[in-house]
Amino acid sequence: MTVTDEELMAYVDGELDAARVESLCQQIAASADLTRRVADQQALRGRLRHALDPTLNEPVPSRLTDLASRDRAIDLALAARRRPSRSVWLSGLALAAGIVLGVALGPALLKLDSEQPDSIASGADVTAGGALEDALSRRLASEQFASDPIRLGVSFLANSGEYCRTFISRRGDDALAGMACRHGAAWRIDALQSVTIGAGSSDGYRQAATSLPPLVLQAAEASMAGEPLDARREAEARDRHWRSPAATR
Amino acid sequence: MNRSDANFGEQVGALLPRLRRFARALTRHPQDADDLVQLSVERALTRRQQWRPDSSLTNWMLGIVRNAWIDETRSRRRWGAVLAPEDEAAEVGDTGTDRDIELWSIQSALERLPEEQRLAVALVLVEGLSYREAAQVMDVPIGTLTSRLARGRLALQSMLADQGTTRVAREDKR
Repeated sequence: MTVTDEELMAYVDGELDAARVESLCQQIAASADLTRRVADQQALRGRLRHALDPTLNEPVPSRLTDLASRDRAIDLALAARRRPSRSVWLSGLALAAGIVLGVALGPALLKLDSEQPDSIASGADVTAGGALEDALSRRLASEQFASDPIRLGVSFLANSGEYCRTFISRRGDDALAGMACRHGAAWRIDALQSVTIGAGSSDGYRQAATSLPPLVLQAAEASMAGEPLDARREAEARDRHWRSPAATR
Repeated sequence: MNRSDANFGEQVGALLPRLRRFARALTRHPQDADDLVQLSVERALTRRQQWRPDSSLTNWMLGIVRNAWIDETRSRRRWGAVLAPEDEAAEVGDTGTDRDIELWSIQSALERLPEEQRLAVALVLVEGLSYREAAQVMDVPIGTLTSRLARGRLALQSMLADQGTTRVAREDKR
């Protein structure tokens, strides 16, 4: 009787009932081919575990363990959402945002999204100021250096007809990544997420600078119409002061 | 905040090593894997009321990681071209130990699997879930899970054999 690969896999995975295991064991013992095929399956399983199991013993980065301690803040947010309230949830993110955005944020301006506690809700109406505003308005993605404290990602046209740009702004070992959209003469911040960079690691920053955190990516993905601007179209958009093409027509 | 809420963060915290291992099976960039775990834990903490205490918290969390990963790959497919890491070759430098190289080989092979096969392999072979549990986490019938798992395994064996480090049963089942 032939034994299929699937059945041998189920055997190795411990998914067969006792009766089938018993009869299969006899078949395996009697066949060099079956013995080898079982060994191959076990070897693959062992190899995967052997390669990945050491992760279990690595120290867990503090940005992950800290989430549990931040758990209380989220409870507050959930509680506040249940009853209409003027509560404002401020955290280190809000303070960092004030610095990054270059504006003094009144507490009422900045509300953490309770679903995504590490990001600022769209519609919070926060606008960029200072160095960030300057970089968003003037600098092209092709003109920057790895050492710039503010790094621009991609520029694109949003479904709203506005130009939007992604950025990462570094402050010490922390950074904020975000998406800003040109609204009138200001850059409105539509998404913001904190990114932790390994202490003193320039590699970490380089990587962070090229890969946006998931929440910002999702926000950009959701609002992007078409493809990101290439270098030429980005330069053209800047030269027109990021005015919406719909408005200039 | 009641008592079970207070425990929830702690219980999720205790799962972090496993969630990181699972994430490493899905993406080979350690930072991406930790980003994925972070996003998943954030989602879990805000959606805790969706977890039924009589069910496995581990499997519920693995499901959240899986969903977050699928969201992530969908958006990446579009963004990959503009946000590609600058220098992948730098990851395994001259200083790589045997263990690093082995991990890199395994992760590279996993990365080449179609997403659904990789998830099946990671849940059953790495995380040790039963077929029934893995099918629940992936939200598919058991038959779908086992066929993805079988295809993923065969593909992995052939990729890893091409690296000359393992023998593979190439004969088929006829």
